[in-house]
Amino acid sequence: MSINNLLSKKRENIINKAFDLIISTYPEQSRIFLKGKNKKFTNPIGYTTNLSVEQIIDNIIADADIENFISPLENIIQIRAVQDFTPSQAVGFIFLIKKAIYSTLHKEADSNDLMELMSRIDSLALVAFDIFMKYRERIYDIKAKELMDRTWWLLKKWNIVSEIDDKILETK
Amino acid sequence: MGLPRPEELISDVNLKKMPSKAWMDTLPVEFKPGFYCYGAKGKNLEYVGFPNARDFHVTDPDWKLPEDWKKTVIEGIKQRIERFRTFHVFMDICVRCGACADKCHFFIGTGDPKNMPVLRAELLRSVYRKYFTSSGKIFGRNGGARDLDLDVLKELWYYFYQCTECRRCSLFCPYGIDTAEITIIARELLNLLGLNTDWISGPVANCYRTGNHLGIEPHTMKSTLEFMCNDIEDITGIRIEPPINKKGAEILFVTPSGDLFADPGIYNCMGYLMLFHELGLDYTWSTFASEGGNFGFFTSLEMAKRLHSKIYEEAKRLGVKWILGGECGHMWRVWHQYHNTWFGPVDFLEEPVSPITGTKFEHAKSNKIVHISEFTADLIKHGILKFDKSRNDNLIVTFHDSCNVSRGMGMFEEPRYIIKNVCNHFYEMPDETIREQTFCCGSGSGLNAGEIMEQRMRGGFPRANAVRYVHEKFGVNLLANICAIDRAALPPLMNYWVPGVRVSGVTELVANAMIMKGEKEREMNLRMEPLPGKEVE
Repeated sequence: MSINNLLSKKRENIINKAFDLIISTYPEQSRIFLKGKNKKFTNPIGYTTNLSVEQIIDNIIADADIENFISPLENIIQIRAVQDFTPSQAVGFIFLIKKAIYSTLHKEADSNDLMELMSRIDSLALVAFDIFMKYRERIYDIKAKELMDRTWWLLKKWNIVSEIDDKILETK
Repeated sequence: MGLPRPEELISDVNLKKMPSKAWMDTLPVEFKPGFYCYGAKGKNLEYVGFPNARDFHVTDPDWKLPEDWKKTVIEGIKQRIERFRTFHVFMDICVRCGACADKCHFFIGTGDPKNMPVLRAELLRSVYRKYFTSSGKIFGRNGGARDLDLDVLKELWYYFYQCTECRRCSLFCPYGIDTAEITIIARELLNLLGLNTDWISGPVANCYRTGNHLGIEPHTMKSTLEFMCNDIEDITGIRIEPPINKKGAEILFVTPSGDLFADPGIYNCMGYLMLFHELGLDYTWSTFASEGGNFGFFTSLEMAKRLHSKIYEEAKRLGVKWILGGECGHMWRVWHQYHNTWFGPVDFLEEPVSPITGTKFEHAKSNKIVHISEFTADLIKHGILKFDKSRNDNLIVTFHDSCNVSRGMGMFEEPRYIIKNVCNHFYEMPDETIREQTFCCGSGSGLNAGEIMEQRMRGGFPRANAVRYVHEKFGVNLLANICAIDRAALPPLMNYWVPGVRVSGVTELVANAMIMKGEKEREMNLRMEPLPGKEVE
């Protein structure tokens, strides 16, 4: 059986395992709540994490291009980028997905195929780091913009700063 | 041996070490940048006579506490138990059923168990038990009690400045425990030691001295309103002269000072000016009672009362009949839930009656204060205002219920009624995220400080998540609200979670759509952007 077929056969098992491992990176007392997968609006961490893991696994099964992984990875990392995690912990869940796949398939799958798959999943860790930085940079941008929103209007009105008028450019 | 596996590196930190401890053993708190507010400055504490005025830095091991700080806190708890029956009852009756546990936006967004309202309150209850209950004194830790020491104090500080007093948890408590009240008292206790935050104590001192949180002085406020009138003239062709400190006016208008300077509050403020002008309302702004918000409410009830009293003193000085409040959240709760306890019914103002429609605002009989949304909804109901809704056709709107006005005061319909009358496209967020179950913006009760952006983003995640749903499903691109803190806090929240959704007050939408007598053909909205159909090719 090809590794994709195996993955497909064990899909549920892998998703559940990966989801449980990722939720286990949160404090123990909170895990029961966070494991609720279906409360889209009242438990967005659990819901989003589960949905994104599903999409990631389905993409792996379908041999999808890396672009298809961006959205589910973003959905998880956007959350973890503002939580109590170090950067490596925020993106390291990729290795928990790997662990879930390996521990489920290693007895049945061809070892070369499995090794190849594991190596390909590593690329997600690199992409994850890019995404993490994107959201951290967004935080810094937001901090700067908030300061502008709170002051820029007044600076302009009091002629402390002067911008080039759009109309001046149009007349030239 | 050798390097760990990647998953071990992650598990080692979070799977094994941290969780297996009981909550009392997870001290000390680690203060990470992005998650704690800066400490108060001594000058701001001193200005209003708060105790232990000195600069304090949260990450310094020494918080420069007075020697007998422990006695001060325990004595403070004793006084408040005697004074507030609610506080005493809330300390005793919680059975830790957990109904509130998963209702807090900070818990939902962080997964930190100490953000469960039950456990956050337990941080203080454990101290209460130790010093005020027999079981706590005898059984100690086994009775859920613990000594008050410096690490415990720092933990109290950290977590009670991670509660926005939004009261969503209270809605689900079978005993009706109001966790916001517990936070209020806990902050009072911390305030006894000068343990305030810079973002709260600065505005308090400013408001006490100048009349508003930002320290906008009278001449600046006047000029700012005039700047707005210049923009209004450019947009509508109508010149407005705002009445300021006008003695004998019928109505005193008070709004949060955020509306006077910050984007997008300024557009809402322009909306007030336009609405009142169109109505020919006999009203006045005040440069002394120039703040509807009350950051004193986040320090101690006494301070809140001191700041609040200026509004009524000013109403008395100007000789107005009643007070109209702008779009604000906690201002509304202070006015309607605390005012009477502090001052009793107001005896020098009249029961508010709309001079335009004749409607008596009977619910405001005691406090003599009407919310602008009630006032505007009444105008619309009576067909007083004419609208061109198509001016808002580029907006697909949803409405965020601000905790204090919705869950706190039950105002659900008025803003929705207004929006539906001035906009053609309106969609609700899911039921469990609006009205009395609304999710907080994550920045209320003095937590909209720039230095805790990460904390605000994760606290506001449940709200943003619901906005994202209507953004993706209906193309919603505008999040309307009736609270100044929302107008300040939601734009960054949207920029992080749902780029493409902007934020506005409701009165801005009203003024955009309102057809004013004698106006020129409008080309721009209040943000000086082209109206739908008026875009330059």
